[in-house]
Amino acid sequence: MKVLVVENLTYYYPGSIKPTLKNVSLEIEKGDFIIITGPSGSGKSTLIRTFNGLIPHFYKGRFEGRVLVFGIDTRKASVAELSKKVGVVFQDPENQILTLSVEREIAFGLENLGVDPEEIRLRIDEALRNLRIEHLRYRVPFELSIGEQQKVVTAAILAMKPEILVFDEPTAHMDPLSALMFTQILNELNKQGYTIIVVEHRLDLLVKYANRIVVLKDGKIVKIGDPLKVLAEEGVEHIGINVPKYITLFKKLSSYVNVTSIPKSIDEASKILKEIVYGNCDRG
Amino acid sequence: METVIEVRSLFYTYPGGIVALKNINLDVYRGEKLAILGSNGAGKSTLIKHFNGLLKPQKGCVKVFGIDTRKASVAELSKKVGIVFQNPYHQFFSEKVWDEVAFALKNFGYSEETIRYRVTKVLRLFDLYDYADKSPFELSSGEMRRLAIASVLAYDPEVVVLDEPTVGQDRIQKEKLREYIKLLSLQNKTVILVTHDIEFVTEGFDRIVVMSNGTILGEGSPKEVLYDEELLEKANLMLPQISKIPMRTNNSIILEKRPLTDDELLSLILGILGVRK
Amino acid sequence: MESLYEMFIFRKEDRFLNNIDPRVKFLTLIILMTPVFLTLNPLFYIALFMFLLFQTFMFANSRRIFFSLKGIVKLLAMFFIVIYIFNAYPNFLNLEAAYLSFISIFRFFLLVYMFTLFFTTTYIDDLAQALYKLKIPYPIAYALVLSVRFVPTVAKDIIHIYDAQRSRGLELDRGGFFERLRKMLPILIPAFVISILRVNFVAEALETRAFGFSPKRTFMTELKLRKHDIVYIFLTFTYILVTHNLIEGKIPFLTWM
Repeated sequence: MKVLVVENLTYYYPGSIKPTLKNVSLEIEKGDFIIITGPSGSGKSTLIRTFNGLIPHFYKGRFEGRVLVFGIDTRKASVAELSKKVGVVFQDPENQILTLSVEREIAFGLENLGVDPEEIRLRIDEALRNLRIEHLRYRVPFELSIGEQQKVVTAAILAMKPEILVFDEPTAHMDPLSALMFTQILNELNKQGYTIIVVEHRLDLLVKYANRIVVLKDGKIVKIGDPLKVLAEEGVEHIGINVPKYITLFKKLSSYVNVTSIPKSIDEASKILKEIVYGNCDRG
Repeated sequence: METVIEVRSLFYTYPGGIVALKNINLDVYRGEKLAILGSNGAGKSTLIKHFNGLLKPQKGCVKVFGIDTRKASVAELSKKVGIVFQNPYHQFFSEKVWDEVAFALKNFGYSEETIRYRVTKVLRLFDLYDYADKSPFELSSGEMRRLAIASVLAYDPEVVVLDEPTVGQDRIQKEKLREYIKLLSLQNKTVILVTHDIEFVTEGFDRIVVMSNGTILGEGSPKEVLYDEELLEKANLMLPQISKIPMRTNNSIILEKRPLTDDELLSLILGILGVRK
Repeated sequence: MESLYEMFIFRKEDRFLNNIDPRVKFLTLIILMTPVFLTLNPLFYIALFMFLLFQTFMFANSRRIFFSLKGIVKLLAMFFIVIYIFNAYPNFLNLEAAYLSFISIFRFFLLVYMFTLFFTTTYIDDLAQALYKLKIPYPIAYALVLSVRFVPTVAKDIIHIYDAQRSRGLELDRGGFFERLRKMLPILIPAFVISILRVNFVAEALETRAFGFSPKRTFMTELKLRKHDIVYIFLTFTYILVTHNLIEGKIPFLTWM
C-alpha cells in the first residue's frame, strides 16, 4: 500500500530563483525503511518538510507537483491534520522540546489535538514504554543528555500515532554509542509496523535496516533503490555521500578477487572476509 | 620534543557540583596533531577551555608555553592558543567578513597595517577573499566554518584547537576539514581536535587521547588506540569500521599491521591471498 | 541565578500546596498581598511571615523555597544598607531610620516570599491552563511556558557566545562606560541572531505537534476545584479574620472600601 507519493515535485523557497527540489518523484510503501541521503544542500531537509505540510503551508514559496499522504493532497490539509499521519523528528532536540517535563512533553501534541485526558495518559505510558524511557517520566528535559532528549521528542511524536515517522539527521549531535542505540530503536519501530524515513549522512549504521535508499543531489533524485545495490555501484562516492567503509573495501576487493556478495553490515563483512581468507578450512 | 601545553593533576568542578575533570595529566607537544576523543560529557570541552584560560584550575595547574594560566588573562593566552568553537553563530556579529576576521586582531592591538596584511593573507588562504565585503550571515554553512577557522588563524596562534568540528558535516565537508588541518600543520601549528567522531580520527593524527568521565583513560598512536577495543568500550565508544573488520575477522597478519585505511587493509588481504595489485 | 530559576522548574512533588488549583492560589495571593500595601503595622507583617512559614513547612518543599529565596535575601540585605544610609544621613546611628528601612525592606521581602511560594508550588503549564480557563487564548497563555522553558537555553547560548568572544580577545571588564557598552555588541548580536533562528525551528516543532489545531484544547490533568481547594480558601480567610481582628481591631478591607 502506498502511504506517501511524491509526484513531479518542484519547489522554490519564497524569493528564490533557483528551485531547491527539481521534479522529484517518489513512492513509499507501508512498512518501508527509507534512507534519504545526499551532500549538504541537496534538498534533503526541504524534501521531508513537504511530507508533513510544512512546505507549502509554513514556508509558502512556489510549489509545483503534488505530495499525497494516504491519498490526501498535502496542499489541501493543514500541518496539524497531517501530523496525525506523518510525524517528524528534527535534528536538534533543544528546539523541539516545548514544555518543562517529559510527561507533559509527550502529552503536548495530544492536548493540542483535543484527545481525551484518559487516552492521553494511556498513550504517554505506551510511548514511554516503547522508547524505554519510563524512568525519565518526571524529569526536566533540559537536564537530560542529547540522546535522552531525542528519545523524548520521538516519544512525543509517537504518541500522536502517525503511521509514518520521519527523522531529519536525528543522530547529528550524538556520540557513536548513542547513535547506535537510537538507530536500533528506529529498527524496532519499523518492525512494529511504522514506515520509517530517515535523512542521514552516517549510513553505516542504517544500511542493515533499510530496504531502500534515495540519493539526492542538487535537488534531484540521482539514485534510488536497494541500499546495498546503490552503494555498491561504481563511482557512487563521487556524488558526495558517505559510503560505509566496509562497502568501499569490498568494492575495491571485488576487482581482484571473486566476491560473492557485498556485505550488509560489518559483521557480515567480517564473515565474508573470513571465508575469503580461510577458504574451505575451518573458520577461525 | 618541546612541550607547549602542560597539564598537571588538573581538577575542575562546575558550580552546581558537576565534577568535570579529575586528575588530568597531559602534555601537548609542539607541532603534533592531537585528537582528544571521548563521548558526550567526557570532559573534553572543559579541558580545552583550560588551555586559553577560559576556565582556571581548581586544583593542579595548566601551563601554556611555560605560563601558568592562573596568572594570565584569557586575552593573553588566546594569542597563543586559538580555539575554534563548534557553532560559528556563537561568534559572528560583524557587517562584513573582513571585520569578522579583523576583530581579534583589533582586540589584540595590532596596527592597521598588520591587520590589513594578515586579514588579506588569511582570506586568500581560505578562498574567502571574494567575500570580504559580504555579510558573514550570507555565507553557506561550509563557508561559515571556513571563516571561523580563518578568523583564528589570522592572529596566528601557535596552537589551534578545534572543538567538535565534524558535527553535522557531510563527507565532502569532512574532507575539507582534513585539508585545513593539514594546512595548519604545514604552517607549523600544533593542532588539537576534540571530537567523538571515531571515524574521523582514523587518519591524519599523530596521537589520540581517550577521555571518559573526566579522566584520561588512555593515549597512544592511532594504531594503538583504535584497535584497543577494551579501552574504547570503557570510554563508551566503539571501534571504527576500519578496525572492527580486522578485529572480527581475527587474522593475525592483518591484526599485526593494524590498518587504518581501506587501501591498507586491501593490500594486506591481497597479500595474504597472494594476489598482485 | 539558578536559585531564581529553580522557582519555575517543574518538580513532581506531592505536597499540599502543589495540589491546589492555581486559580485559588492566585486569588489568595492577591488577598494576602493587598493588606501589605495598606498597613504599616509590624505585628501584621510578623503574623503574615508566620503564616507563610507555616505554609512553607507544612504544605510545601521548604528546601526548594529557601533555596530560591537565598539570592533575593542577599540582594535585599544590600538594599537595606543603602536605604538605611540614605535615611540615617547625616547620622550614622539612627534607630528610627533603621526601623523604617527594615520595615520597607521586609514588606518587599514578604511580597517576594509570597510570589516564590506561589511559583514554586505551581506548575507553569497549570498556570497556563488556568489562564486559558479564564478565557485567555491558549497561545498567549502558553507563551508563559515557552519563555520559562527557554531561559536556560538562552543562558547557555550566552555563555557559549561569551566564551567564543573572550577567546578572540574581548575583554568586558576593561574600558570606560561607553566602551564597555560597545563591547556588549559582540555578545548581543549573536544572541539575537541565534534566538531569531531558533524561533523558526521552534515554530516548526509547534506546527508538527498540531499547535493551534483547534481553539478547544484538552489537558492531561484538568484543573478542577476539589476539597483541598476549599480547605485552603477557608484557612486563608480564617487567618485574615483572626489577625486583622486581633491586630487592627477592625477589618482593613472594610475600612478601605
